[in-house]
Amino acid sequence: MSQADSQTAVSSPGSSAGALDVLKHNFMQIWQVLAALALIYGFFFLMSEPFRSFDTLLSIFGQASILAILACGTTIVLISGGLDLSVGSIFAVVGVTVGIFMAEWGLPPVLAVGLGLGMGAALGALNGTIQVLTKVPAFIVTLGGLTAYKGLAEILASGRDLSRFPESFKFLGTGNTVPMLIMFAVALLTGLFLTKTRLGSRAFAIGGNEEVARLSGVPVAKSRIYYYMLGGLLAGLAAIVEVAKLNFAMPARGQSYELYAIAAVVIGGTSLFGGRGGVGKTLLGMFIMQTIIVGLSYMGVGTSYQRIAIGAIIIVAVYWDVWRRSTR
Amino acid sequence: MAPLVEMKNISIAFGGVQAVDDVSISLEAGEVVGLLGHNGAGKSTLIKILSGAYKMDSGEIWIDGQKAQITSPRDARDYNIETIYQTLALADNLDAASNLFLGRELTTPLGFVDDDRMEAETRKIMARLNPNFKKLKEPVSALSGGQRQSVAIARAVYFNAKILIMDEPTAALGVHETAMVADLIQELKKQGLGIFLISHDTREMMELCDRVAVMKNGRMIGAERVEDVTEDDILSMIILGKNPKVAA
Repeated sequence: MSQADSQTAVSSPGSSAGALDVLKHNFMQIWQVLAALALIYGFFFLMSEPFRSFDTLLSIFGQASILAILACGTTIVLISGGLDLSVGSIFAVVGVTVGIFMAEWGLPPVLAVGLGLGMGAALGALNGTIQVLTKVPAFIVTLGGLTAYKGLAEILASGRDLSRFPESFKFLGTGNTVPMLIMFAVALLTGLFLTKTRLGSRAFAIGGNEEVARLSGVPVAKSRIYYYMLGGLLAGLAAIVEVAKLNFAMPARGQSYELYAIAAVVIGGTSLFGGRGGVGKTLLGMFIMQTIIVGLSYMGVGTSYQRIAIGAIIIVAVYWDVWRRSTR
Repeated sequence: MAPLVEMKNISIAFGGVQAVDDVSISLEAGEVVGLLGHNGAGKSTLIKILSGAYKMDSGEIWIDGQKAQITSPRDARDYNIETIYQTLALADNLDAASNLFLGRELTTPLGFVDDDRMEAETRKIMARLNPNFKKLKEPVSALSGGQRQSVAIARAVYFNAKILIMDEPTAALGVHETAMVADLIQELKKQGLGIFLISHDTREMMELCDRVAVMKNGRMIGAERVEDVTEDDILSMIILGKNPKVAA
């Protein structure tokens, strides 16, 4: 197995150690997070009658799926030691552009989706390129992107009614099921990317020790640009699914999504400091967060209190990460 | 026959400080050349120019009688130059196989990373270099200094280095592990590798090297065959910056 800490739900079976060992190893990596999810789910299961239905479970997955698609990209970027605060705004730009392509230009959905994904990838790649060329820290470059892309989305959308899209497009957002399937497909592909491709597996080395990676002949700058590009691409895909689900596009969507994504990634156990993590962990983190949100809603706790709860959990998750690093 | 490596009139400055000043040095196949000098004498900087980590301001590098262009670690690799760095050897968060193949991952015919084969190859080479090495699946941060060093050395050996650069290879090691590295250097030398060795330990260098070169303040004081000099001669070169062989 390649990265000792990378395999989670998406594993690499058939290693010489045996598939069972691999499963066991993966389980050891994530059992704490799984236990936390089970505890939280159990808590709400006991506390709230309507929470117990299967529909609730399905809606947790369904509501998690759009953010989870975006968070898969965040996982790649964070593992490589990067940070992209602008993905929520990329989400807004892509949502609006895809809306314009279909509602105003009358482009066929397939083309609109393709161009939208390209737009997301290009904006992500721009973040990466600026960092690599200027050496300005990721936090600053993507903070700039956060507001600049938001402004771009507002300019593009102003005075336009972006709604009522073709049926074939709206299919992408059908119920909880289709977004959920897209989420699992994206997670699977992201997992394969991180564990089974050269570019993806190098994210762990770059995030662990950039200088070692460079001295080992890894093209660090180029790789980083690709990671940000994928982050932007997946933000775009998440936006497309949401626009299809809502049947309208507006620049206010996507706000704070980058923070929720980072929260889910970190809650799942991917290191905020790079070099460790996996996409399976991110899904678990996202389910934990969504379970808390849905559970608290069912108990009649308002959204403002939910935010406070999520904020507290983020701090606990990062504290845990810091603590784990110091004891190794 | 042309030497394996010839570095001619190499200079590099960092912000006005002349770290390496018009230094020339050569290395033959099957030869171990030791670089000695105080901290900041320029040995590591000189060697990092050969390994592609730094770009020289002026000078030439010739390999096997051909002028070489080395501007990145990748270039160095293409000339079969492998470096074992004192501190920056391994990515702590990765296991032995991932470190061994970092930047040169083995892939399946479809282009996917072939973990099984990398692990098997790592097992094979580690069995040869360090039979006690068992922790193949743990991040290398969990390994002892000697085990880490053997992973770093395995990387050089596996990829058939012709020119090996070792920066303080035994600094973090115990007595037994140091002896193991010394044996390995003799073994690689027999196989015809040229080795640049950097160390502070003059006695160790006298035992391991064919020639020792002393640097001070970025300049080359002299390079002598170990049988032609005493340990005191070397020490006076390091401290006084004068070559008694030349003065005599």
